[in-house]
Amino acid sequence: MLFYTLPYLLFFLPITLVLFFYGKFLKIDRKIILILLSAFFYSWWNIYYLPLIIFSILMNYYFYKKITSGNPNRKKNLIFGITLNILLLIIFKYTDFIIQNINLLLSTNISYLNLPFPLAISFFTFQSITFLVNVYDEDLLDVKAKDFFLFIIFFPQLIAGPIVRYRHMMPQFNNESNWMFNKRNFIIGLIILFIGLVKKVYFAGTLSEFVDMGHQNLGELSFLSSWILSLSFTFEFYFDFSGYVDMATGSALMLNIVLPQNFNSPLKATSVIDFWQRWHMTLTYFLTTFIYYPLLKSLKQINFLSTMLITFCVFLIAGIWHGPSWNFILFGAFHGLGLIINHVYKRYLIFNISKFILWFLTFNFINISFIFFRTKEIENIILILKKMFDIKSFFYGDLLIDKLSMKFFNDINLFICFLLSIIVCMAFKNSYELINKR
Amino acid sequence: MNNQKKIKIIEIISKNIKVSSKLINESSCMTDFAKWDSLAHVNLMLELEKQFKKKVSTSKMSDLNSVNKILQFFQSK
Repeated sequence: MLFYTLPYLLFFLPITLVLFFYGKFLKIDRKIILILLSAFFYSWWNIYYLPLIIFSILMNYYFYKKITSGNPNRKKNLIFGITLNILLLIIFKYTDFIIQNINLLLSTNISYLNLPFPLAISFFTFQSITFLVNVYDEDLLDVKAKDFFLFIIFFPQLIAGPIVRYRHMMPQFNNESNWMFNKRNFIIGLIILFIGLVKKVYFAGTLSEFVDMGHQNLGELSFLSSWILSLSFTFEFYFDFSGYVDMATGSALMLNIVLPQNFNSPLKATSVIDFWQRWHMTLTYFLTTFIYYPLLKSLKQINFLSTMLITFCVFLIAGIWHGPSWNFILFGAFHGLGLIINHVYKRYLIFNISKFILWFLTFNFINISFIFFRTKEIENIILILKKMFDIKSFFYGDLLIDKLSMKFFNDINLFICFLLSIIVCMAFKNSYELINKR
Repeated sequence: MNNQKKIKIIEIISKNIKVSSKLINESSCMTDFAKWDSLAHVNLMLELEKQFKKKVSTSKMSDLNSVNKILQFFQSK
């Protein structure tokens, strides 16, 4: 079920709120109510994926028990648990991609397995790994099975994050005052849900039609339309993702649960480092805490070069985590490279550049990087980039004549949406700033 | 907290993030100093681990993102 659909907005969410806040009268445990409703929410799309998430939850709970059993093999159990999680992710998400590349490299003809791609597997895998490491590091004891079940399957964060931590979530679920209807949280939650809805349906929806059209007619791109297309996708992507997270945050807040911040006006970033501290922040936290720091700590000598190599590797992983395709790996590599340049500048070349120029450079870097994200075929990525940097055509007056540019300037709704996107992204406060005002 | 320990911790932070200790106080956090990046943070954590013989797990490393949190962590046994 998706947050912006009528079944969610008109039926699922209201019913959930009523059952959660008035469950006391029905004498049903609130956590069980949320687990059952979340399982229903997850199954709405395809009920056949439900067994996999249940299997993953049971498997991770088993490893939690093993790690905290006082057994001397704690570390082995942790490593085994993490490995199985990653293996599960690889099997369901990357098998065909691996087969495709083996076939390409070795000229073999191995058939694709066409395994199902369970919804949210990337998110619940990372969340489970976070849990196991936290259990190991911080001795999380006394985790009840239903608490862990709820932690993984809680519907607002299940499909597209944010990636939450057990220590952040469970005290909120256990706090009995959160089981009472809170008018203030309900209203703020509703406002944030509405903001998310506008971002997703109006902004992302309007821009996506144009972006899809552009990508179906890449051969007709000009210098101008290639820039309009890439910028449109940048805004579409931001509104789509942050809108969805806003709807998750708003829905959770209506249930008195505060989710961690995942976006902090990322298009206002003034460096690539700054961007990753503002974009998909819970993923950045995961990458830093569970991949970057452990890899660095495992080195005998930490120096600048090794740190940069690890940064690059971490972003390759981040890239492929987004999807089983080379364009995502290139997206990760491009950001890894951007971060290295940013660190080199910070360390060796720092000189005063105006904030506006820093923002301008960063924004364009992000805009170009999102072309890798959106365009699956490498030759099309090259085509768009060639057009964007085809300065010659700019000077030869090849500006407003192509179909895509005409469509953009003639479609008043699209044009206004694009202008509003710039204003909202650059001048407005974000949804989380609104929550913190309360 | 023992004042000497506090001064020592602030000196270690200052050395690792290459910022004068005069500019660092209990309310300072990672985002206040551009030089307090992830590389400086790892080196800082490793040095604090060594100095105070207290292991910092990787999940804790991310959490210790302010002077106050670092002081509290190394104060507790």
